[in-house]
Amino acid sequence: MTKHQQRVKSVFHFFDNKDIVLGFRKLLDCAMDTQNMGIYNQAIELTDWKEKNPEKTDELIEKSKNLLTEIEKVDVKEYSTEISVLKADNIQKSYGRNRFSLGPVSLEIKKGQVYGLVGENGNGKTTLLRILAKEISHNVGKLNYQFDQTPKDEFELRTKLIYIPQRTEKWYGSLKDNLKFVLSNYGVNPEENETRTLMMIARLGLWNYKHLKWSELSSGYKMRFELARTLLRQPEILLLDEPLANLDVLAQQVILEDLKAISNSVNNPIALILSSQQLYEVEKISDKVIFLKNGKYQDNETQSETENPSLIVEIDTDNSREELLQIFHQLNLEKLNFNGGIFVAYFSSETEFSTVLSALGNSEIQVTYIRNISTSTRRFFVE
Amino acid sequence: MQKINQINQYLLERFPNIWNTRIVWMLLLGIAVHLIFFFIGFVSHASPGTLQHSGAVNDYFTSGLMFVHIIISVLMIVGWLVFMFKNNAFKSFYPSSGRKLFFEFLQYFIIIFVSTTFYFSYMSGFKIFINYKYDDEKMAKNIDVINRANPFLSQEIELYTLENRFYPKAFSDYYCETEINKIDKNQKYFVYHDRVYQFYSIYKKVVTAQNKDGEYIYPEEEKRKGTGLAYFENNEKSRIYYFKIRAVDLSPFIKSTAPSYYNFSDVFYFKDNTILSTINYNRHDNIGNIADEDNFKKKKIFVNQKTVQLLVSKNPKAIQELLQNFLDISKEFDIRNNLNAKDWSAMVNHPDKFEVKNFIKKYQPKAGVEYDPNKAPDGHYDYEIASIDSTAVGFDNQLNENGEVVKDTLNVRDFNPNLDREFSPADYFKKNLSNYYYYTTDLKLFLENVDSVKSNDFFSEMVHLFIWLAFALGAFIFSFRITNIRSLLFSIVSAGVIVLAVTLFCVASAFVFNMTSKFFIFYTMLIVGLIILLLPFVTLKRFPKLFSSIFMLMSINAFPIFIWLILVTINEHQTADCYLKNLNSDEDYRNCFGILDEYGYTLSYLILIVTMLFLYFYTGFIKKWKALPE
Repeated sequence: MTKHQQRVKSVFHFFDNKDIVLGFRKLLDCAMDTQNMGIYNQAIELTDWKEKNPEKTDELIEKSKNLLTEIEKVDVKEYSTEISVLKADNIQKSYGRNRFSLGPVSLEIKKGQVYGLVGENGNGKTTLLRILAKEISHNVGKLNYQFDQTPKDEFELRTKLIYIPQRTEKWYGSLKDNLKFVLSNYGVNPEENETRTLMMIARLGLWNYKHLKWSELSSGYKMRFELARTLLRQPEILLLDEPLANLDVLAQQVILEDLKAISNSVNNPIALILSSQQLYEVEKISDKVIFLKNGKYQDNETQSETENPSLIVEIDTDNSREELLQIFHQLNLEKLNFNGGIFVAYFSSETEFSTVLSALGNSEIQVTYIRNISTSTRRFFVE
Repeated sequence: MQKINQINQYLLERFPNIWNTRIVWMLLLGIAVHLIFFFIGFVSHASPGTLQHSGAVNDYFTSGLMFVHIIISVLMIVGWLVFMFKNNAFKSFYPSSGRKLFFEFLQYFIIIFVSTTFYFSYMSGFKIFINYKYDDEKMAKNIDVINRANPFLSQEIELYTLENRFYPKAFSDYYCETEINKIDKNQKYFVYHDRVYQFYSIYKKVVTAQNKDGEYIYPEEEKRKGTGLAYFENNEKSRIYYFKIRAVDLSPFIKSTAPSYYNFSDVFYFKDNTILSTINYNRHDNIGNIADEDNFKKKKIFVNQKTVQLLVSKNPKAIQELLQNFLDISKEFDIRNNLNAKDWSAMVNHPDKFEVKNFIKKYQPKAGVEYDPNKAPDGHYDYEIASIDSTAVGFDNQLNENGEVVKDTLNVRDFNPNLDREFSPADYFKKNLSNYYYYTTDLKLFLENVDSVKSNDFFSEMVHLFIWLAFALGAFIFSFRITNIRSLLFSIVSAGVIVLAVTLFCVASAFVFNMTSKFFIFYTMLIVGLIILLLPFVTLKRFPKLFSSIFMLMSINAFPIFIWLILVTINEHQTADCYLKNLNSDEDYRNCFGILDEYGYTLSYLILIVTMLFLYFYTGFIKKWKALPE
């Protein structure tokens, strides 16, 4: 069974469980992978029908399954994700004397991978992304890009390095025309232009918003349209600066899921690096999380290999430090930090998280929040 | 609306560049506005009255239509920019090529050119209308009638006096002496009130030699013999003296010495006659161009001949028919008058001597205001009609045998003892002024306007203004599209600073090192230009992106000036070399022409082509610059 067929099969499961919302998105992902205009048109038709008949769930499931059967039949060529699309070697950038300096940063990313870039404000996240997108220059180090087709010149390279800044520019005129303009500039067959545009609109859940004006969109939908525009460029690498800013928690999760799914495409995978303040959400979907502090690089993988992997637990409670120390005194507690409302307890590597949980449970202490952050970059924030 | 949308979608999917620039719609709109201006031009002068003021060919600029043009152009261009600025593929790093970029600039150029050249359409409409309504053949016939009927308009007494006579041939061959001091009382002469006329046969002598003051030398032989001087003409390099041989008696041809229709020889109008307005009504004036003068004289002979022949035929019907034709034409041209052919021909028809018994006004004076032939009706004409002052005419030419100016010494009463009992010409004119009027000036202006519109070449020079306007605006917009407002503002400021620095440098060099040669200035500017052209290439990747962009934008916008500067320098070298050569030879330095003088406006096209070629190749560099990280 091919990867494509496996995915289609999993989508059938979603519909079997009547999980329409996620199922339909996954269905569109599979449809997109086919690169077949017939399938695209059917998917567009179905989206239109779905939006017009939101209450007819059973019918939707049936129609969706029919389409899935069609999609399954299409042969989707699997893209090899062995080659790194970007290799950054000891990148360094400094602004003036004694001022901010970034790096050295080395990283390598393959298509289909998602990297999260986290860190407090002013620690160089945007700078790093812009360096990787060749928007700004760096002082030391090497950047190597490996695309399917080697760019003829620097300008063509820039057309392939797709970076979305935190504050995107306003769009003027019809939203759909803006999207079609992208495709025609990228030389897409005129007959396919409309279909591909509508497919992307459908996939990103913008069907009912496609006739609005830019100023009528909420910031979440603005980001989605920006994403649609970007994805139509068929990027091989995508660099997003704070795509989750200004979004509510639910919207953050949806957009991250979408990003993950799209970059994970079977025949058109994308290497994705996104920066964010939403540590937990980003960690959930990322293959690797890069933490920048004062321009210095740390990530969740390398860290665990080099340092002694202690158990680090974050606890929010109204109880006092003394009470906590008493509860943990038999659990090899190394230190207990309190930073304005939250306790961070460091245990030796032998201690299990479950032991900590049962100790807390037995002590009848009031815990409002607890999280094991031993492998999370969260631990760098609370240090 | 749906069709527009369909076309838009078609363009968007296939030709994003063309869709973005909106060139299709801008051209359609531009053509529509051009058609409107063509139509305005076509109908603007449909009423002949609109052609009865001076310089109707420039009505576009004086009627306010130019402001309408400017407003429409500004609105079109601003509207266009609003739409075009909605998308910018190059700034978004969508795939592009040098050719695509150049094509985009070319579209700006075309759009702006089309949106600013409504003047041409207006003038085309105007010209086509005039050529259609007043075609050459018809106008030639009309002018012939006008010239032949004009003698009977009797609006100025001075045009009917004896010295105006040119036919039969004797009158044009002989010189009519009107200076009392030069009249030979022993020969036949003619007297009309205070004027005396005597005809002389003449011969001419050309003098090229000048004395040390640059004055032509008076012929020695004539000076010695005391031969009477009739008049002289000045040419560029010579003076022609006409000397009297002897007085001739033309009395068989002269029925009356009083103002008579027989004497009228004034040419009312003839085509291609630019000198008409500069010519006074005396035959021995300096016109400056012998060919023009001969031509003019021929016309005068023709008018006089036709008039005399008509009068001699003693056919009142023929006269009335001519006047009727003239009035028909006047009606068609909407010339104000209260004449009718019957009464008018009756006023003319005095078959014995055809003396002018009645005069016609040039305009209708307001009630209670006395008619003054030398004044235009209030606010009607742009200028006052030049009065013909016969005493001032040819004063310079009244030289005696020694080449000195002579003054009256003889008394008129010697010739006309009845002087005090007669009416003076002015009184005679006033006394016999009828209530008829005819707006002759309107007719003359009308004819002049028709011909000037027909012959006016409004395109070949004006087009350069519009070409370079389109280029400048196009290049400016292009600069903004490929860079950003910051680079653009910096480049404007830097350009100002560079101009200032170069000026100061040249002035300082002139004062400190005494480098006043114009070539020093030219070469300084050329070197600065060359440095500006090279700087973007040199600074790319070595200096901040903004720095390169400043000089890149300067190169794009000022390249035509650079080429022009090269041509000016070549031109100056050519003329300087020529001066130097001619200084050592007899050649006139005024014959030195350089490349600019020789090719003139053609060079404008050359500069445009070279600039376009430059931009075509420069787009590659623009792409390279754009791809640079900050």
